[in-house]
Formats: sequence, C-alpha cells, structure tokens
Amino acid sequence: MQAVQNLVHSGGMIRTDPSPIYMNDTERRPSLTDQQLVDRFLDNDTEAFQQIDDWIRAASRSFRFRLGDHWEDAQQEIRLEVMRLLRRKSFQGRSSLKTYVWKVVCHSCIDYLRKQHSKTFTTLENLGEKEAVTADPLDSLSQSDTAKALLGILQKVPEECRNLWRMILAGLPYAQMAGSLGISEATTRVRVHRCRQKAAALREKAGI
Amino acid sequence: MECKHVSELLPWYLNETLPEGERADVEHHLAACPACGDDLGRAHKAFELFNQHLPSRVLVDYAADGEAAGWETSLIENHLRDCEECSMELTLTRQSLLQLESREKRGGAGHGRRFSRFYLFNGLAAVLIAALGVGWLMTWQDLQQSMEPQAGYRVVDLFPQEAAQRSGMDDKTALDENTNGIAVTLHSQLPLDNGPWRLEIRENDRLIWEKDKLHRDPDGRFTLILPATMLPEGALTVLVYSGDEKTASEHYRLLLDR
Ligand SMILES: [Zn+2]
Ligand SMILES: [Zn+2]
Repeated sequence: MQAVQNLVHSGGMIRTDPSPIYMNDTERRPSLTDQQLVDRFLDNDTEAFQQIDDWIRAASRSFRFRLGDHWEDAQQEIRLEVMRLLRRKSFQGRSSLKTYVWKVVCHSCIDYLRKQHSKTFTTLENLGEKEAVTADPLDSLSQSDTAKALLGILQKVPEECRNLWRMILAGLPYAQMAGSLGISEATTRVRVHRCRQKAAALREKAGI
Repeated sequence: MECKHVSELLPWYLNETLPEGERADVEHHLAACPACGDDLGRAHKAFELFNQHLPSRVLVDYAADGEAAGWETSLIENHLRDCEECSMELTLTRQSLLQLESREKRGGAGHGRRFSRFYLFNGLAAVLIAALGVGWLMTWQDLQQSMEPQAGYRVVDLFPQEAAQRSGMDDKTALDENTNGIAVTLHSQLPLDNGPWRLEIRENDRLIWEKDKLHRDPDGRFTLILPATMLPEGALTVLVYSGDEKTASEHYRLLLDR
C-alpha cells in the first residue's frame, strides 16, 4: 500500500481526505469533450482530476459498507486503475467517459470485494496452477470465454451438488456438513464424491 | 488408507478442514500413490468449477444494459438466481449508478450536465431491470451512512409498529413530483443472531414483494429503496421474519401522502 500512497502523492493531484465527497463545483468551466477531459486529466490538470475523481467517489460509495475498513485503500486502487487505463488509451469513446469510469469503478470494487472475501486455501495455491492475471479486466476475453463455458456446465450440475460444494467452498468440515444435512459422514463424503464425478463428466463432454 | 477413501476426502483436504490425523494420512498416501496424485488435480478442477462466478465485467455490463456482449442473458440470470454473492454485487453496482445519477441531479454543472439525461434513463432502466429481476427493492445501507442529501430520494426511518405507535412516530411521508423514491431504513429490534430475514411488502392484503435470506447491516438495520413509480397512495406494510422457523416477526407501516 505504501507504494500506492507514494504514487498517489507524488502526482500531487489526488486528494486523499475522505470528505467532503462533493466539492463546490459551480464555477467549472463549460463542458469539455470526453477526449479533452482525458487529455487534461493525463496532463495533471486539477479540474479534470476533480471531475473524474468526483465520479469515482460517487460511483464507489455504494460499495463502502461492504468494503468496510478497506474502502479508502480500494478507492486508491481504483484511482490508479483509472489512471492506468486512461494512460493506456483504453478509453475509446464507445460510451461516454463517465460511463467508462463508472464501469471501471464497479468492476474494480467487485474484484476487490472478491479478493477480500474469497477463502484462500493455501493447499490449493500450492498445487501450482497459476491464477490468470487480468491485464485489463475490460477486455480479458479468453478468460471470459472460459468463465462462460464453466458457468454453463455448472448450471447442468444438479442443484444438490452445487449446494454441497458451496459448503465445501465456504470451508466447512465434513462432520459439520453431515450434521447440518442430517446424514452420516460417510454418506456426505460419498455424495460429494459423486457430484465431483458428475461435474467431471460434464466437463469432459464439453471438452474443457 | 485405501485409494477410494483418500479420493473421497480430497475436497476437505483442499479446504483444509480434515482432522489432523486424517490430513497426515492423506498426505502420506498422496506422496506414494501417483493415481491419487492425479485425482488431486481433478479435485482441484472441481473447486474451480463450483467456485465459478460471473466475471465482474459481465456483471457491470448487465447492470448497465440488461445484457453483456457475448453472453446469453439466460446464463447470467440463472447464475444470479443461484448465487447470493453475484446478486449482491449486482445490487451494489446498480446502486452505484443511482448514486452517480443523483449526484448529477444535484447540479454538478460543468461536464456532468451533458450526461444527466442519459443517466436518468439508465437509472430508470436499472430500476426496471431490478423490478423484473430481483424485485423492485434495493438495499442502500450506504445512504444512511452518508450524511449528504440524495436528490429526489426521501430518507425515512421506520421503527416496528408498536414502538412507533408508543412514541407517536407514525408520521406520513409526503411525496411530490420531485420524489424519485424513498430510502426506508428499518430499525429492527430483532436480535441479529436470529439469522437472515424474510421480508414481505404488502399493500392492504396484496403481496407486492417478498424476498428471503436478507442480511442486515452490523447495527441491525436494513435499508430499502422504493422507486416512486412503484409506490401506491396510502399505506404499505412491511413484514419481516427471522429465526429458523421464521417465528420472530416485526411489522412496519409506511404511510404515503402525495
Ligand atoms: Zn491412492
Ligand atoms: Zn456468483
């Protein structure tokens, strides 16, 4: 995080104080095109920064409660992400700049939330399969294709299996699962194993 | 340990909840048995499959447009029905759009002006999509915490009916043509450890909306956004139930005055 702080401060452009969220902005100059706004933003123009930062703040607020103590950190990451993407000329005017910023804010917040809340099992990580690194979440298409195929398969798996595995992913031991399902531990293990086989068969059939 | 037994235990070996003795046995066996080593890879793939969610990009596109390029809408919606996490993320994304829209309505001036019509439209679209999808209510806990007024949204605090009557709080909420909706915060007296809520909204005896498995904020409050277009004249009753048998309940009354 220190690196982030330094980067943010070295620009001297981004305010880091948590409030006020809306500044007195009645004296803004008349409207710029989105591309002018991006250019000024990249040119360290304070007002362009304030405009975009305003959007970032407004758009990220709905995530504040969920992000809890991480909210400020998440906002800094989002600012850097917006900056990074705009520098890479990733904004191409397909939508308005504001919509673009909103989308970046939202998917950054979602990814941040997922990172915070997903259980990390070290045993899994040690298996050596690398997590795919997303260079640009807005256009990581091949990753998205895999996700789409897997979700399609997941929906064909019996609901009972999805429920059983949800418990495993939530980190429940088999004894506790058996208890809450009202079945024996051995039955629990067998059912989970059968679900794994069903899922594997569906995956094989789909070829992924 | 037999291969079959090891194979059955692998999911819990991977989620790291095996009792210590069993964990050591499994590890021991895995080191010596290539077949089970392969099976560990397959168990890992099961983890990947069952832990699959909508990519954040897809969720955001769906929140904005009701669709995402290259994705069948039915695939998205089936997953949303099934997955609490993704539908919560979708709700937050829709709220984010409303936040941005209401910020524009406050007259941000400058660059923002040009966008407001588009955002008003999108905000309404988001509300309509919500109406067709997860129901027409949205939680907006954040609204309570932010101390700034939201343009067009009336913030209403509701207390359980008996408590409200005792303290004479059963006030009418006035609506005018500038009201985009009401953010209602339910201040529940039900203990938080009673578990998630079932919530019903009724107009007289007609059930307008219901939803299960709702979670309150850490202070026990729950905030709903009721878009103005969906608000009737007169009274709405909000019922909440909690507990395993859904036995504990509370009534709230919202009186609307146009
Ligand atoms: Zn073996
Ligand atoms: Zn999901």
